[in-house]
Amino acid sequence: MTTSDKPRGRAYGAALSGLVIGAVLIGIELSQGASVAGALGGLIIIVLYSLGIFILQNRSETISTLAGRPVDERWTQINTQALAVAATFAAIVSLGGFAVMEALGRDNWQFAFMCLVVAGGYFGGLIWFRWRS
Amino acid sequence: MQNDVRKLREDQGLSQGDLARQLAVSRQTINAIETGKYLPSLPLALSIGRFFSKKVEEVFHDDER
Repeated sequence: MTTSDKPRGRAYGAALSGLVIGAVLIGIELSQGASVAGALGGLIIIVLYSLGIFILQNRSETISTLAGRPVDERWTQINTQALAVAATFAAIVSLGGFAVMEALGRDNWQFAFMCLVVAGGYFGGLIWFRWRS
Repeated sequence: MQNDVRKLREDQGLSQGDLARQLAVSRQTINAIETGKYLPSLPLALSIGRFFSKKVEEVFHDDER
């Protein structure tokens, strides 16, 4: 039983994730013939964001949560609520995009795939957490 | 749900930051509990009660009281 204020997760987790994602994206861009300068532009934004939250995570509870390390149970709850809002927006945009593209008679498989991912994630989460609790 | 956390804390001459450090949570969380914006989990409520040497129901109570 603990309510520790020690942030959960590794301090460098978000920064490392950002660097990995940036490296993957730059690899994709270069493989598609993009210029090195153009590919680096996208990487720099991700690296600056990752380094920013890594450096500032101990100065702000909000940034610590952005870095994936909520400082206590209230921040964990806030993080969960924010994730739920983000998932709701993703579902609305996916369904809306699917409907609009369908109405326009255009290819909409990307939106259909996103709907499948969101719905699958939700139902999977329900089953998983029901089983765990 | 109301609580006496602010009164108990002030009676002991503690700041929100002092109590936050003792309970290993953020100062903002103590403020949110005191103002009723956040209901603590059972483990945290038990920790608060234990810190003030009170039962949980002596610190947290229904609005009717």
